Amino acid sequence: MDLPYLSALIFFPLLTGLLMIVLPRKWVNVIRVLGILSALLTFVLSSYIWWIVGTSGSFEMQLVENRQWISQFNVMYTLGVDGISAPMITITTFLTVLVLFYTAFTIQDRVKEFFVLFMLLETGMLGVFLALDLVLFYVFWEIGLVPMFLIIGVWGGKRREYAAIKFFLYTLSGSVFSLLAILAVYLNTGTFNIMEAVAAKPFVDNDLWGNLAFWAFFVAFAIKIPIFPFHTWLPDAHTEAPTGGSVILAGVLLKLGAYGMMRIALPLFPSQFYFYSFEVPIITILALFSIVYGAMVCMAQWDLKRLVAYSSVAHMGYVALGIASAAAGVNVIGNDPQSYNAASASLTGAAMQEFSHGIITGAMFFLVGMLYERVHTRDLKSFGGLAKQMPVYYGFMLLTAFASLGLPGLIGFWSELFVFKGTIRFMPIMAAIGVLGMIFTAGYTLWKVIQSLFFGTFDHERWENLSDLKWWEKVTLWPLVVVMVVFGLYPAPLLHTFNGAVMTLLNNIIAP
Amino acid sequence: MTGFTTAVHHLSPELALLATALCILVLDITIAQKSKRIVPYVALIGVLVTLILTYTLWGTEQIVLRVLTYDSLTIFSYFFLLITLIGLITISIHYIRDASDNAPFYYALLLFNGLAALLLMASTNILMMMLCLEFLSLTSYVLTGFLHQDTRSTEAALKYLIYGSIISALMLYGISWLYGLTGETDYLKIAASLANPGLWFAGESFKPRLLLPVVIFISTGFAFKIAAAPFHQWAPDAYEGAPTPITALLATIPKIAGFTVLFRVSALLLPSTTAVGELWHFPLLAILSASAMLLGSFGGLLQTDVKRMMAYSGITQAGYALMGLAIGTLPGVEAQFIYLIAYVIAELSIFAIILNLNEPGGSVEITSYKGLSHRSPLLAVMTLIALLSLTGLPGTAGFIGKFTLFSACIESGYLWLAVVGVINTVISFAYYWKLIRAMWLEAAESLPPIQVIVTTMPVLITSTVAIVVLGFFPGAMLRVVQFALRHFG
Repeated sequence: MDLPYLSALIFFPLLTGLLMIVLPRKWVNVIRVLGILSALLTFVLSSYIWWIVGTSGSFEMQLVENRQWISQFNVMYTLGVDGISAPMITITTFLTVLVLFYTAFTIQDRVKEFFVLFMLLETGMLGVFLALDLVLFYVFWEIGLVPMFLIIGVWGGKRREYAAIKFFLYTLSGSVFSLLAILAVYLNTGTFNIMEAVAAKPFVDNDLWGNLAFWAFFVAFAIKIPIFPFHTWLPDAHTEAPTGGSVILAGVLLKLGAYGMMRIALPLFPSQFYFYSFEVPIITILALFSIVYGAMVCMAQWDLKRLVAYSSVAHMGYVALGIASAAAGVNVIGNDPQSYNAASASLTGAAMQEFSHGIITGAMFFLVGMLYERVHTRDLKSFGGLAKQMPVYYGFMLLTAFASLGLPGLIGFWSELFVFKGTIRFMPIMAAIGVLGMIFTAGYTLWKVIQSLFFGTFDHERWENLSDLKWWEKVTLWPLVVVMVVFGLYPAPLLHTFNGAVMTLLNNIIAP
Repeated sequence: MTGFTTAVHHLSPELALLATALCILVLDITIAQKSKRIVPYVALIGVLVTLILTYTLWGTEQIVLRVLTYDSLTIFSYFFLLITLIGLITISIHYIRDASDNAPFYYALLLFNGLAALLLMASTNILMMMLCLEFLSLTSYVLTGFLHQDTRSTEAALKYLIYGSIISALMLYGISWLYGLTGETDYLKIAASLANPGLWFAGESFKPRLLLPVVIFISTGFAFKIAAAPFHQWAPDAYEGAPTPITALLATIPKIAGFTVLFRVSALLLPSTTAVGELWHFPLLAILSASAMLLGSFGGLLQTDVKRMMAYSGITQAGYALMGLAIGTLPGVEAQFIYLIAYVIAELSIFAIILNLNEPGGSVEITSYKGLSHRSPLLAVMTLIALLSLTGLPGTAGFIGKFTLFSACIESGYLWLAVVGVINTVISFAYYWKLIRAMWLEAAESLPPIQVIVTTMPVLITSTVAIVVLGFFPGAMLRVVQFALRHFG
């Protein structure tokens, strides 16, 4: 295949955005339709790309494009997709369609700016997943920051200014240090290309430069994922962002960090990652903190949106744990097939969790937003007994909540299973502590979310006129729920896609 | 030393500029008041002619009158400065027409300022350099105080004058010390003499740090011109009080000229191959760079006046560019110039926008930006792009500048400088954010929409497009800078 599918995928939203800029501001509906159609086309293209990857028979990078860009610095424009990035780009485009569709009905002021910013954001996100050159990766990463920060700041809630600047400065701090680390890698290997740099095995002697570069990358990605204690920007950003912003923030932007950890930090610095995951298990402990502490904080929340935000921290902790346990096994996977299986299982679980968390938390934020549109409060104390009043909403929320706590049969179960499968082999005690998190997750989900909202006494004066879901809200939610159930019952195609690419990644690490 | 005709041929750009300035002064006396509107256009034509004449000197390698050197760096810096001058003249047209009756004098001074800068950038002799530096400073003082009815303008000029005079005295002292030691005034000859301490040092063991005072005194003048801490105190007041187009001038021309001459001094007079040059580059320039970055970032956080804030921002940016020079390697110096190009483009854009926001004599507070995204989405987006370029976000020319700087830093092992630079990126965004917040996040339904001033449009559009295009396709810019520095291996 010689057509530049990947470039087309990345730049099509940008072109749409530029087209929207020239349209008059009053043509609101034209802009909305244009945005939704464009996002739909992008989704179709990304699905096709996933199909190409799935049927290609090889687990290496597919559809690679390699062009000169800034030749004076040896920076190339290199794109590629494999089994880890293909589902990521698909979930990006999938959530974008749903967000733009939902937003077309909910946001009424400055519609043109919102859609333009979102198109720019989509370009940035897709570029991050597909970039194979470190500088290109960095450029797309930063491009995604400004639209998100403006989306939170302009269309957000009461404390949106604070949340927006906190988000931006926090993420910016992490990423500028990673720029220095990128330059260090270049100095060590002579290339910015990720695949080549991994093969060149920089920093094997584990010296000071290697450790500094590793920590720079780790902190940059840990801020984005987020891992405790770098998570403090997330509750504010998620809570204050408009619904569409929260969905894409939780659904995709967090995954940028996890993807970076998997694609860049782990393969380039396996020995440092191993050291800090296993010997001095800082990373593992931080991941566990995210899981357990995140879940416990959720239990204490009375603001529904903030609860879902903290649940993101907890869920992404599983991703971090999966990557950390794969790293913990890095030294032994070359010789021991059982360890290799465990490592690939935990890494596959982490990748799968990225996907499933995107779907589940995306749905959760949509549901929270739909409730907020009606009642303009997120205080859990004020609700109760909504099950009879809004049965369809109750159904969707129940399903999503169960997926969130990892009920077998829904998508959330498989990722947690695989992560623990891997972790048990290398760090059984850590795995045991992590499982505690699942108990707390069940706790806050069932108690705070389900019980507070739907059971108990129904406040007739306040909520008598609450309407159930409208047609467009149902259209937004059904695709997500279908994915949750279908992949929950039959995750094989998804797991197969991830697993192949994960094994290639591990093989590249162990290769001499 | 060459013939008269060669000298004139090489001096033709400067002569053209001088002729235009004198022509404008003559026009001031001769033509009627209402015809004086043509004066800025006369100035523009003059600068264009100068630009063409500079182009004809392309590829030349010549020393003229023993004090000026014309090489690829000269040609590059001339182009850079003249294009910036065109931008400055263009944005001044509307403002000066309304603010002052002395418009022709303004343009003449602007051209004299440019002339001083051109001569400064070509000089390779300490006396010539000193003369041109003074010439540049004097014209800058007068231009800062141009609105003589406005007390703030006069106050700014006075502060600038007093501060600058003291610094010039210090610098002259240092330079005279050099002459006293070596007996030479040409950069290369001084450098050769300094490399051979036996010629002028009568003791047993010469320690380079004995020359540290000299080096410090000399640096004061340059640091003052480019507004690098700790010689930056004049900048916030001068930037705030000066008429806005002159603030734009202060933010661009002294920096272009200052960095070019600083580079020549660093490369020819005090190269890092000599022991003294080692001292000059590290710790002196490195410490200047770090302190400029830090003081500029933290100073800007407390400002509410936009022009003052831009002064502190300029101090930080000077620190970044100095980082490239402090490293002392060719990639470092290339990075300095690339960063400078990105910086000047962004500054021109921002000041052109500020001119659209304020009336003559008024100060520009951050509140003037309130609701700009409603009042003029175009200006708001352009400000955003310029600020992002100053922060160094990818997709802008500023990122290319920062990337080359950090790359050179890490390559040479100056990790601590790079870390300081990186930290300051985040801190400086904290005050650019105030503008962004005012523009996008604050409502201003009652304020009227802004009509963009037509004569500022060329600068606005060119600079915004340049920032974005150079951010993604910096090849041309990189090649130009590499060509300019090809002799300094």
